[in-house]
Amino acid sequence: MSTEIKVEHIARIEGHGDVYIRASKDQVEDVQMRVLEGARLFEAFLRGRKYSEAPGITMRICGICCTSHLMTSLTAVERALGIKESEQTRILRELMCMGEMIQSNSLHTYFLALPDFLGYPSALAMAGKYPKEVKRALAIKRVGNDINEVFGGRALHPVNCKIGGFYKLPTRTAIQHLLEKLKSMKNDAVKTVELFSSLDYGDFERKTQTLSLGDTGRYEFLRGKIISPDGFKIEQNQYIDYLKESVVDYSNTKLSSLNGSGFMVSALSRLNNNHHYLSDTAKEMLAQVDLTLPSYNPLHINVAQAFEILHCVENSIDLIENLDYRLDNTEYTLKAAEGIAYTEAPRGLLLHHYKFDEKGILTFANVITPTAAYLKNLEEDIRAYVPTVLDEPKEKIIFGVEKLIRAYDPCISCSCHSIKVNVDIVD
Amino acid sequence: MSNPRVIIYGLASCAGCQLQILNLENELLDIVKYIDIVNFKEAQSNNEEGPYDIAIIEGTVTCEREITKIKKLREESKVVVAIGACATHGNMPALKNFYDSGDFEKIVYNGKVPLGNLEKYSGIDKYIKVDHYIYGCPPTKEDIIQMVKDVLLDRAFVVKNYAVCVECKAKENQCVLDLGKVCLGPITRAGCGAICPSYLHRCDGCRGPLENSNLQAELKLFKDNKITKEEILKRFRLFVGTAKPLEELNV
Repeated sequence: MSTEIKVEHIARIEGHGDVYIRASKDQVEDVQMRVLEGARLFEAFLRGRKYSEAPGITMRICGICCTSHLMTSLTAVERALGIKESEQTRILRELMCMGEMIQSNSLHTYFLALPDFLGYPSALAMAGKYPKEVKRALAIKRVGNDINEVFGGRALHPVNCKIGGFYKLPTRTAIQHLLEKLKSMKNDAVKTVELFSSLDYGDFERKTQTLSLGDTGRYEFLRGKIISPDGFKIEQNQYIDYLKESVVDYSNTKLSSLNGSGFMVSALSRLNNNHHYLSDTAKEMLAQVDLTLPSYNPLHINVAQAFEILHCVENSIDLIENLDYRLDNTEYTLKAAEGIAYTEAPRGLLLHHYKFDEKGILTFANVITPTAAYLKNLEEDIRAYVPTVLDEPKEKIIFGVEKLIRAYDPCISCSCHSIKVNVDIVD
Repeated sequence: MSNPRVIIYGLASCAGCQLQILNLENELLDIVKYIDIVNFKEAQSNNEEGPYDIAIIEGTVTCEREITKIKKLREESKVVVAIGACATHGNMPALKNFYDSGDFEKIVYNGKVPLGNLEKYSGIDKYIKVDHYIYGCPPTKEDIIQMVKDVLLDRAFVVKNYAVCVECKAKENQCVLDLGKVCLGPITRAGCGAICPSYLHRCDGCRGPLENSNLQAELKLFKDNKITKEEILKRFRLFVGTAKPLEELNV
């Protein structure tokens, strides 16, 4: 007897993805994550356009992590042109990245993942029984968006960033108002960590490489080397030699591998690598909860995201309180060049790689999104997870697989959208 | 009387328009008192089949499967709303319509063309009748709330038919055309608060061309400023290249 599990259009993830699993009585024969979102072809139509258009175009790859695409794109262009951003620009950009982390992590933890743990179909359906939690979720998400409205001009597809820095400074009043809101959210961020530390994530784990930026002495989102807890360490521009991409015939997303195996990029990868550099309260709370790092339980991505919400709220307060009220943009001259940049998007490492000619016309663009980067690892997780539950009823297998997939917070818009699972038991 | 049944559906897109609905953090819990979101795969797992009262559709039509889906949604829904520049005009992915067939896919997918991929990408009204358009990339929260109110009250959702320049002047911005930028503000629908020119960007026309806009005058302005034909076409086609007056434009 073999079992076929087909989850079509998985719910509570961003985009349209299916999962197909074929298993015999005691082993999994095949796992395919199929990304069926229509091909949007960004890497193709970037060619022939100007280098300065890349940030505004590539942020449209994803509405959830548009700021990450924007920052990665700016950094790739700037590295090509030999621009090193000023410390002031780095701080303002880091604030925007943290705003996006708060927005995206709160959306994922409360709206997409939590309903699984509390037994509801959606966060809105929880509003009757859990009004405090749902209102807290909306308020935290709001303050994340507020950061980007203040510094980026708007939360969705920001308009205030340019190559070399920023167009405008927000008003002092707007910054002061934001600071007060952030301070008032700190307690909600603490409660978020308490809530997500109290959930049962089970004991499934599978050793893999958990890659993130690091080696900078900070909880890094924007710079650094690519590292793992096992001591893997490469410069960003060495990615081509290590992180291989391949086209598969069942999906519109290319799969990435390291030495032939999948690898994990995620909030958990960041926490595994950089937890020493969390903000003070986040670090204190991490010492008190039952979470051993590095962790290889993918469901811990949920709690890692909660810790990041607290870190980002606390760190944003700190950065704003010490903020110099000035812009420090960097000038540049155009030349033919090549630039590679990784940043940490909410779902993990995000790459932009461009080449342009002396007139600034793009001749090559490569974007590897976090979802595309970890998809192979997720397939390998499903392959290892299913045998542990094969004796369970079909509904439980499907629920477990969906929970596992949702923990990764797949963003299929990025990788090339909802999950429905069907299990066919074939005699 | 029961609340209207709403489906929110995404085609190929950045999912930002769906996120913009969830970004109504201050209003969302009030809105769901008056509408029942019965199908929203991005946010819930208890998704109900049609019929629906309102279908809010985001995204570019890129493949056969999506055409079948939106035709079904049209049959099942009383009101169809196209939200965002992808659903109204195909947005950036529709740039491929202006290049040789298959070239783009080959660049991205190493020669393999994705299954059922369409020759021409477009907004949804190429295939189905659309009742309301929420323009922009991204659409504004104000437009989303206004659309919901208007549909609930059975009023027309009225789109502004004056230029971005009107809002830009009202904000006393410096004109970015004067800075030499290829700004589409004079021919583009307002409603965005002229946010891009407010940050010294050109307007890239994401809300689409005004009805009866004076395209020829805009073209003359660019040509007088020595903007090349190639550059003009790049600007016009970035978000809304499939809009009738632009698609047929002879530069």
